[in-house]
Amino acid sequence: MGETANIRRIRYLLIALVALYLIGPTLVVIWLSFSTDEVLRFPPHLFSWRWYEVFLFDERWNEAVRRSLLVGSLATFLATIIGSVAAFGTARTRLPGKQIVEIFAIAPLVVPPIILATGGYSLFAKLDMIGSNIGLAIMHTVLGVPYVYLIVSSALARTDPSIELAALSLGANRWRTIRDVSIPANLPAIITGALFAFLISFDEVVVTVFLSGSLAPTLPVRVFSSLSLAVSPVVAAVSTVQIIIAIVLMCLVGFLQRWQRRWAEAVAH
Amino acid sequence: MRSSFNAKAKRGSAVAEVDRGVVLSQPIGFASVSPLLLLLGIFFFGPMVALTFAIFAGGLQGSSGLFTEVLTNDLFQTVAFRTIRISLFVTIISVVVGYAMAYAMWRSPPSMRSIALALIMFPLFTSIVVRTYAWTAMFSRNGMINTLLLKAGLIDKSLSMLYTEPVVLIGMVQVMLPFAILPIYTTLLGLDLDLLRASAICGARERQTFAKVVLPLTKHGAGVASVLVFVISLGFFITPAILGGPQSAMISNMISTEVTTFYNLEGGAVMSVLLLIVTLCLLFVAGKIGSIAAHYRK
Amino acid sequence: MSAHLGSITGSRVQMRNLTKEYGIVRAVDNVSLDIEPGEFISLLGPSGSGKTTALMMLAGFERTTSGTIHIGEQDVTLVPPFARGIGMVFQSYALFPHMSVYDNISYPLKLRRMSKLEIDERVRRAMDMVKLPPDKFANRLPQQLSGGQRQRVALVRALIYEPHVLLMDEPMGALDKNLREELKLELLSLQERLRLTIVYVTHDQGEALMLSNRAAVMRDGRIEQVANPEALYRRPQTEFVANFLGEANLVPVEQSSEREFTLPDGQVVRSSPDISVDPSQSYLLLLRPEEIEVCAEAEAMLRGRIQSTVYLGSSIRIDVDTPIGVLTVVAKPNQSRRFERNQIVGLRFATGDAVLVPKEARAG
Ligand SMILES: Nc1ncnc2c1ncn2[C@@H]1O[C@H](COP(=O)(O)OP(=O)(O)OP(=O)(O)O)[C@@H](O)[C@H]1O
Ligand SMILES: [Mg+2]
Repeated sequence: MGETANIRRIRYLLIALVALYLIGPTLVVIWLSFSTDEVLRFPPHLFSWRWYEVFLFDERWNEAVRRSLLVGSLATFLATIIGSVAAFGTARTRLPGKQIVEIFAIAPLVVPPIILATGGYSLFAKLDMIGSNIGLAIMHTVLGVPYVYLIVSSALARTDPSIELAALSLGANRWRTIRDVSIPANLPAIITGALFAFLISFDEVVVTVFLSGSLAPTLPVRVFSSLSLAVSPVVAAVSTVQIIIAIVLMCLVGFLQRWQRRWAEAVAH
Repeated sequence: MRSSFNAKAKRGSAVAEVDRGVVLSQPIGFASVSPLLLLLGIFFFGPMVALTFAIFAGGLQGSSGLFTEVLTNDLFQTVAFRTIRISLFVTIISVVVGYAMAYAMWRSPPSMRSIALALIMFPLFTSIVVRTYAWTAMFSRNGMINTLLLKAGLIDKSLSMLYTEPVVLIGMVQVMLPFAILPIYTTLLGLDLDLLRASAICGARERQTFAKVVLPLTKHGAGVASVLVFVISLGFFITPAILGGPQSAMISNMISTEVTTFYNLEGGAVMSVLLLIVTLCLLFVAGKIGSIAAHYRK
Repeated sequence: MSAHLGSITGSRVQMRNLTKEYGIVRAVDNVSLDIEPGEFISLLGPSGSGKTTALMMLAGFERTTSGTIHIGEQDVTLVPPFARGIGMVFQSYALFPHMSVYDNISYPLKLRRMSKLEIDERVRRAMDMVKLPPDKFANRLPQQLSGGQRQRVALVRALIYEPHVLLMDEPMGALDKNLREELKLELLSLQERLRLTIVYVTHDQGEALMLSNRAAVMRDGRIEQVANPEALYRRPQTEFVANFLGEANLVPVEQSSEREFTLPDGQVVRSSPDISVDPSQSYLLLLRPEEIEVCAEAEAMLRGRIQSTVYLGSSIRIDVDTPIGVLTVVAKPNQSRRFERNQIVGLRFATGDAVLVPKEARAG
């Protein structure tokens, strides 16, 4: 639209710079993870898998991974069920006070995590649940459930409710309608929500530090606390693994979203 | 025959109440949202109540004493002021750069748009700890920046850049930038391209169209993004903890130190409640502005 | 859907004093309608007149505020939709996006616990019937179909379990004109074979007149008139119906004797004997454009000046300013006769058997 080549060049330069700023440092980490050096240095001497071996065979790292996976799966399970069910409840019933539910569901996204951490600490101290995996998983559920709720709600808002009415008119009762139509037609969104819930738990540091202490840390907490000590390249290897997981999840989410959108479009022409 | 049918009908209606777009009955609706309300009621609002209890355990007198003690504390004042200053800078930089980026993406062809979008989404999927670690690798004494500067002969002794406010800013802006870009970009996508064509037909240059058409129509989105970025910045913990150290600690770090190092739960609770109040007030004002703006636009 | 389906006859459907209120809005207001078994009936009306709401109550998706619904001998007012034995085609088709065409069509049969073999046979036969060959379409997803194909799948899915009543809510709304014509014809032949009861919601009067045995014209939640298409067009009972179904010239008249009415220019028309007239009510004479003939001035009842002409291909629409008001006339163009603005023409129409509709009292 009448823009000069100069403006276009500036535009692309800007995009490139911002992109570099956003992901450049992360890519440097991947490079560092193959270093043979004992300490962080530039440029690193390449190439070795030694830091991956440390990560794989060190019992303390393994312990952290196991704990992260355990807490993460439990939190994902709870957040996915509670969030999806609530999203269905608000989207497919005449419920007064839907806004209140919405505010409830979004609140954990905007309240600073340190408040949940200190508050959770004093609450869990009273309940004698400090260091408990279940307690930690519940707090991670609190942090993950808004994502599930928001993602599933917006998918439900986009899918035509008349497919559910159609199932009812064809002879399916309510539970069959939910089982055969509501859930499968929104499955991509539900899975996306679950992935986010897992990601949130798998990254959470602040609340986890307070509730698990340094005795039995999760993976990100272990990374976090090893950063305040001497920075060993093993952290780069751990980070690279996490980056790869992030890339896989991101592609998965992109795929799921396209899938859900295609379905929504199919119904709305 | 007749009566058995009626019985069936009644049973049907007990679960029925199917309305247009409404598959479930109201009681089932309540049942379906109650786990969420229960979970958040106990484990989200519960902690806040617990904080309040920790403060008011010593009675009203004691609690007001706690508040004055915290508010007049020199360190608290310094940290609170720093927190506000850093958050303000982060907000300004993120929204200005974010706006420019969103605009640049919007004016680009679709293929470029989706590449840029993926690049922006990527950090959202990578852990903040990992990203912060990446910055320490860049800025530490034997990190990449120092090495490059030494090699280029610009400096002859490596600088200590970590634990300074600018580095904290760099790290935080990287985290917040996607939060600024995405809402502004979405607002831009909502703009009718015919408006731009109309403006161009009227003889406006790109710059004039931007100032007179695009900016006024997206101001609101940028405003919402600003409040969001500012509020989230206030509560930052990991980035200042790793990149800032004690010299550039923010309020969350101070709360954490009070509670875990000095076992001063009351003091930490008071600061947490203050932070919460500020956050909620900001969100409330933003919500008001949002609805006023929405009203104004109608 | 086959020889064996051809024997089905629809059920009687009765709505008695049906009312639906949303807060203070009365979407459907005391509607009573008896639909004969095997009848094709249209609910016709402008947007917001309550057609969809009435249909939704028939289907069981909306609770009635008051009134009852009978399907066959049964009172189904409180029966949930899945137990009513109805079929429904939605305006958006509502095909399940996560199921193939085959799975969509077989879904109601699976719910009825039919054997795999029988399901397969029925689905294939049905798909063939609506020109969706199974080997080509069975495994496609709805999003891989055109609008017309989706519409057929929706229709087959609603019919395959042989419901006695089929409800359709503006099923052609999203299709282009040619496809609509084609599907209308298909629907007619289908109905001829199946003879089930069809309730068809539309705001397109042409569609209603072409398809239905009877149509109910709705307005503000009430039924204005129920009649067969010809009666609705020729003998509307209200000004609203006269205007809603095609173009109408409505000329104010004064009653002069029991069956005689005077036009504003003093001429007299006689009403048909079957119209009963209330002396306290003012009436309007209905003249459809094609009932008015353009003729030589000598033979004319009226003379007028042409205000405007619109060329419509097979006919010409002319607005003529006459002593009894501006009349719209549809005339056949021919070589010897041309119509131009400001030209004076003569008009005539039959004066016996006049159709009179009560003049509506307008507020304000
Ligand atoms: N859920 C609802 N709450 C409140 N009012 C409603 C609701 N659904 C419909 N209405 C109102 O009831 C009236 C009838 O609506 P309905 O959808 O039946 O009209 P319709 O004849 O189908 O119109 P259209 O041709 O536009 O589809 C309208 O005034 C509408 O605003
Ligand atoms: Mg409708």
